[in-house]
Amino acid sequence: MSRRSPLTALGALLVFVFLYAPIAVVIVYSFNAARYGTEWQGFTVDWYLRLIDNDAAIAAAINTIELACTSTFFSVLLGSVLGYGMSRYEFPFKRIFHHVLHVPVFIPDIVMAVALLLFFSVLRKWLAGFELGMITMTLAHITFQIPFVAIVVRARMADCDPQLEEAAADLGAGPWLTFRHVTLPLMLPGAVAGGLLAFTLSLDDFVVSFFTSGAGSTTLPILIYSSVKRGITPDINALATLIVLVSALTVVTVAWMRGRTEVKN
Amino acid sequence: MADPTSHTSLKRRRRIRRTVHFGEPMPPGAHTFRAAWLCGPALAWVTVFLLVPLAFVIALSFAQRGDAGEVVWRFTLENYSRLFGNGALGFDPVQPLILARSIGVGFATALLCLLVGMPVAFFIAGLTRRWKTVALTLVIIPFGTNLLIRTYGWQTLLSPEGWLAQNLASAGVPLADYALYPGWPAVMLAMVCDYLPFMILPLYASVEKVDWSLSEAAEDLGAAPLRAFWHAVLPQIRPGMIAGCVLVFLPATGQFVIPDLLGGAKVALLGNAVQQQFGGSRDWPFGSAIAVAALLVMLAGLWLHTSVTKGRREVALP
Amino acid sequence: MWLPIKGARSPFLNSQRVRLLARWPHDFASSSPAVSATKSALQPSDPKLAAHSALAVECQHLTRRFGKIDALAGVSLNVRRGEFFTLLGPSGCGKTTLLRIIAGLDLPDSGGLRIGGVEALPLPAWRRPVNTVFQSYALFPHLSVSENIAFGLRMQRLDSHHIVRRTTSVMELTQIMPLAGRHPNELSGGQKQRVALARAIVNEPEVLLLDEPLGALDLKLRKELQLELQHLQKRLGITFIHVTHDQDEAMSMSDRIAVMSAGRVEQLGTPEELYEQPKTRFVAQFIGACNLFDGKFVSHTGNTVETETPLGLLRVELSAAGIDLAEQGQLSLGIRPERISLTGGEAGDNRLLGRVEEVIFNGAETHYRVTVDKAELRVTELNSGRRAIGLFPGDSVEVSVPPRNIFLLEG
Repeated sequence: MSRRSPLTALGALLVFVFLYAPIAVVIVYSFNAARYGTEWQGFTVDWYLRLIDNDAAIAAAINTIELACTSTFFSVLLGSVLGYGMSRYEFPFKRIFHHVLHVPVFIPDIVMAVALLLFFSVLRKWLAGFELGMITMTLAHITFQIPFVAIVVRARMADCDPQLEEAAADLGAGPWLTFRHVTLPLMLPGAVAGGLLAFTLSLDDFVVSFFTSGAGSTTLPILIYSSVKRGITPDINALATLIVLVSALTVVTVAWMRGRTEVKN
Repeated sequence: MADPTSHTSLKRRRRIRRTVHFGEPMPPGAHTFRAAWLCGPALAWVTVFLLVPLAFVIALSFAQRGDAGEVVWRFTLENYSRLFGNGALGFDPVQPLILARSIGVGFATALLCLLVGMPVAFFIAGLTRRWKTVALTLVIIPFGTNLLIRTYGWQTLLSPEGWLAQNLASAGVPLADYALYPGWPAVMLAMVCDYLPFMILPLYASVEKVDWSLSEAAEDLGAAPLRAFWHAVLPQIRPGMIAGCVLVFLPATGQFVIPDLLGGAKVALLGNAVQQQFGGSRDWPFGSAIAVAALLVMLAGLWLHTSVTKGRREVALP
Repeated sequence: MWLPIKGARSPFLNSQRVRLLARWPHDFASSSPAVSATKSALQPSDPKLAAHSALAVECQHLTRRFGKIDALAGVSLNVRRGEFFTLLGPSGCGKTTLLRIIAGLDLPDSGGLRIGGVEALPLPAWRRPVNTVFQSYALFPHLSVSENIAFGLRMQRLDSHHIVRRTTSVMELTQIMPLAGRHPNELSGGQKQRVALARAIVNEPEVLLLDEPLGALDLKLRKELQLELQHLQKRLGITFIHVTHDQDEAMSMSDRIAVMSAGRVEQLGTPEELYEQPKTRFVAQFIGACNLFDGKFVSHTGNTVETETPLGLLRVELSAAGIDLAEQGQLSLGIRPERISLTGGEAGDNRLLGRVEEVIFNGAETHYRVTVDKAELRVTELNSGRRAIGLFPGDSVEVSVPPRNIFLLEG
C-alpha cells in the first residue's frame, strides 16, 4: 500500500462516505416533508419550526446544557489541577493512581452506569430526600470527565520543558509568580481542549445519564433514545441535526485550537 | 582523598535530604504534601464515585436475589456459576454465549476496523500538512457526534423500507425483509463505523513515522512491492495497529446502545445482559456478576495493551 | 497586577543598582540624562563596592549524590569577581550539577556556598543574584522575544518605563532588536541563544551562569558567538561561569578554568597553566594532545631528576610544585608533541634515537609518529617554511626532548 496511489485515495474516500452515511441520512431526513416513513416527499424546514413548540425537547435541551456546563466546570477545575500535579510532582503510589485514572476511560459505560446506580441507591437508603436527578447525573458526569481533562492537561504539560519553570525561578519569579506567568499560560490550551472534550462527552453521554437520571431530568440523548424505541418522529431528526451541528462545531474548535498551539510551539 | 575529620569545621547543614522544586527548596515531605493537595481532590472524587461503587458491584455479585427482586446479603458463588452455564435445569448456554459473543464481536470489530482504517491512515499520511489537519478533523467529527444519532441513522438507512434496501431491490439484489436490520449486519456496520476513529488515529500516528527509505531499499533489492510492504512497512506500523485494536476492542465488547437498537433480540452482548438484569429482570446480584465479567474483559485487554506497548510512548487518546 | 516579592534580592539590590548606574552611560546608549548625571557620585571605587567580597562565588566542599553516583564528590573552588570562569569536563563530570547548585535549582548534600560573600544555600533560586543561560535556552514559548527579555524585570516589579528602556538597550547590545516581536518558535538556534543571553543579562546579575550555551550551534556560529560572549563579558564586567565540554572553547574564552572529572576538580588554573603544567594525566590528555609514559625515579640533583622510561634515561627539570613527587618510585610523565624536536633542538635537551613510522602533513604543521626503543612518540613540527625537514617513514632520526617541557603527573 502506498501513501499516494489512487487506489488508496479511493479506499479512503469510500471509508469517509461510510463514516458520514448515518449522519447524512439524519440530516437529509430532517428536511423531508413526509410525516411517516422514509420516502422523500419534498423539502421542508417545518420540523425545525415545530421544535420550538416541543416542550419536552426544549426541557431536555435545557437539562443537557445545564448538565454539560456544570459538570464541565467542576471537572476542568479538578482535572486540570490533577493533570498539573501529576506532571510536575512525584508522590508515593503515583503509578497506581495513574492506572486508576485510566479506569473511567476504558470502563464499559454500562458497568459504570450500574455501579453508580447501585451506589446512589445505597445512598438513598441512608440519606432522606436524596433522589436520582440532575444532581446524581452531574456527579456521574464529573466522574468520567475528570480523567479525560487530566490526561489532556498532563499530556500538554509533558510537552512543556520543566526547565521553563526553572528559568522563571532563575529570573526572580517565586512559586506563585512562576505559576501565574509561566505554568498557567502553558497549561491553558490543554485545559481548554480538555474542557471541550469533557463538554462533548457530557453532551453525548446516554448510558450513564440513563441509569442515573430521575423524574424530570431527561436529557436530549435520553429523549432521542425513547423516541427511537417508540418510533421516530421527523422533528427528532431536526433536533438530532442541531445536535450534530453543535458537536461538529466543538470538534472543529478543538482541532483549530490544537493546530494553533502546535504552530506556536 | 582528604581526611574526613579535616572538615569538622564545616557545619553539617542538612542531615535530611531536602529537594528543590523549580528553584524552591522544600523540606522532606513538603513535596508530597503539595502533590497531595493538588492531586488529592480529583483522585478522591474518582475513588468515591467510581472505585467505591465498583467495590459495591463486586460485593453485590456475591450476594443473592430475594424472591421479590430484593438483595439478600448471603455469600454465594451462584451468580458466577450461572455466568458459566450452570442453570437451574442443568447446562444453560445463554450466558456463556453472551460472553463469547461479546468477545467475538470485540475481535471482529477490531479486525474490520483495521482493514477499513488502513487505507485511510495511509491516505492521510500522504497528504500535505494543511490537508492532514482537515482530514483528521473529518475523522474526529463523527466520533464527537452522539452515538445514538449515528445509530439511528443506520437504523433509518438499513430498514426494509429505507433508501439502501429499496435501491438494492431495484438493482435486482434479492434481499429478504429484515436481512440487514435488525440483526448482525446492522450491528457490525454500526460498530465498525462507530469505532473506526479509534483505529484510524493511532494507525495514522504510526504510519506518519514510517521510514519509507526501508521499503524503497527493499524494492531496490528486488522485493515485489507487496513483499516490501509486508516486510519493511508493516513492522513499523505494528505499534499503531496494536494500539488501535485495543482501543476498539475494549469499548466494543461493552457496547450497549448499538445491539440494543440495531440487534433486535438476537444480538445480546454483555452490556445488554447487564441492562436486562438491572432493568426488567431485577436480579441485581446476577447483573453485578455480568458487570464484573465485563470489567475483567476490559482489564485483560488493558493488560495486553500495556504489555505489548511497554516502553513506548502512550498513544494519545482522541 | 503584580504580587510583591517580599524582600526580593534585598541583600543585593543596592549593589546591583550601583553597578548598573556606574556602567549605564557606557553600556546602555539610550540612558536618560538624569541617570548619567548621578554617575560621578557613584564611581566603581565607591566604598560600598570595595567592602564587597572580591570573590563572586565560593564553593566549600560541595557534595551531591544521585542514587549511587557521586555527581559532586567534594568540590571547593572560588570564582573571582568579574572573571570569565569555565567549568570544563566530559559529560557526567558534575559540572552542570555544580552550576544548578549555584543557580539554586538543586541543593548539595553537604558543603557551603556563598555568592557575593553572602550565604546562598538558604536562598531560593529567585532570591539569588545569579541568572542562567540554559542549554536548551528555555525561552517561554507563549511570550515574544521582548516579553521574554522583560520577564525578570517584571518579576522585580520595576516600572514599565524602566523595563522598556532596559529591555531595549539589551536588545541593541545583543543585536536582536529586529526580532523583538517574534515568538521563540520563529527563531533560529543562534537567535534563540542571543535572546536567552539577553534575558539573563538584562537583570544585571552578580554572576551569569552559562550551561553549554553554544552546544547546540554549528561550528561557524559557535566561533562567532564565542568572540561575542567574550567581548560582552569584558564590557559588562559581570562574572561569567561557563560550563562546557569543549576544551578549545574553554581555552580561548576563559580567564580561569576548573577541569572536572568524576565529581572532582582535577585542576584549576589559567589556560596557560593548565596547558604548560598539567597536574594529572586526565588534565594532560583532556587539554591538548600529550605523550604519556611511565618512569622510574633514579636520582636527582638540584631540581633535575633522572628517570628511567621506556624511551631510555630522561632528565626532567622540575617546576617547584613537582619536587616532592619526584621522591616516589613510580612516576608518570608527559610531554606535548610540539615541544619535541626532530630538527636538532637546543643544547641540554635529552637526545634519543628514533625511527619515523608515519608522516601526516596537515598544512600549518606536520605530525610524525616516531618509535624510540619500543615506545611510541607523537611529534608535531610547525611548517614554518624556513627549512624542509624531509623525513620519510623508515628514516632514522634524532629526537630532542627538552627537560623543561617534561611534566610529572599525578595518577
